[in-house]
Amino acid sequence: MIESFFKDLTEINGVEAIIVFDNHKRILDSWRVTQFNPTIFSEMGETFLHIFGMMEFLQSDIHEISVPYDKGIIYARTLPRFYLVIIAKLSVEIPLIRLTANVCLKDAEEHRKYRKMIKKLPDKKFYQIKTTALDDVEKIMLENILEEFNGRK
Amino acid sequence: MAENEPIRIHQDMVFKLSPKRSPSEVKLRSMEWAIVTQLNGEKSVAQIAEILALNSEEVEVMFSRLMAAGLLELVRMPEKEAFISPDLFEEIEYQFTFFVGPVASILIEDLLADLKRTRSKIEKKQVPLLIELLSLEISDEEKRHQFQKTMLKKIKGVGL
Repeated sequence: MIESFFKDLTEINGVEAIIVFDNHKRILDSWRVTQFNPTIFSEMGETFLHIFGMMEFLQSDIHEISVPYDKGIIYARTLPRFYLVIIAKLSVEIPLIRLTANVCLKDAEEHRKYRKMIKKLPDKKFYQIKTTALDDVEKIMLENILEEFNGRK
Repeated sequence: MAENEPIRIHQDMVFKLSPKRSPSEVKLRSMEWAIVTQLNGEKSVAQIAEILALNSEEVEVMFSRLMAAGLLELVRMPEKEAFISPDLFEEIEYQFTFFVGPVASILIEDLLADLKRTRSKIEKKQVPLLIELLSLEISDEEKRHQFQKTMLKKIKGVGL
């Protein structure tokens, strides 16, 4: 998937890894130039599913997040049926990543193979965090937050 | 550059802590301390700003204060070829005009003013942002995509 539809992103100097997750936080595809801790991708997938799931619930217009850390930057972008996480060096400009991602995503939509693949993916993030990605304590906390949120509406 | 002439802080500058003065000798604000902890002679001003989520004004003020306090030693100046060539700028303007018409040059001037840049003084690393902001002026989604795609190809072509 990455080699076929996001090749331009892999060619940006300083991009070190790209991971595509479905809304069940399963890794659909990944690409990397450097070694990463084997669990780090799935941990990141879970974290961003929580964030994007809540954004979906709140009907937020924010569809991307960039998080700088000591050695680089993590850029994550949510789409209706999947989300994309990119790890890059600090020297890489986020607008360049965003511009490239815009072009790749729009071009990909022209491909039948891509559309067919995307169509099969689950389309709700919030439902997933509520049912699968939380432990019992987190589920109770979320229920409390939602009750309060619904009470305010 | 004269010794006493104030140095304008540039995003690509790289500093390290000066051995001549310790930060403990100066009264620093918490964010200035945070900058001090990031100085390693490798990270650029822009990278430190990114890590600490500082905007360009904050960067200018805080680095200038640290510089004035004698805590910074310049390791690397921005490269001369950090600015884009007039040819590339002309190409951006040409393509943008193709999509938005004669109003393009006005929109570009406005945007450059917002970015506090000029045609001849815009850093290469600012080009994706410039293109992104210009493309927001193209209301037709298909045309916007075409502009972004064309410019991305250009950027790659000149090795940005």
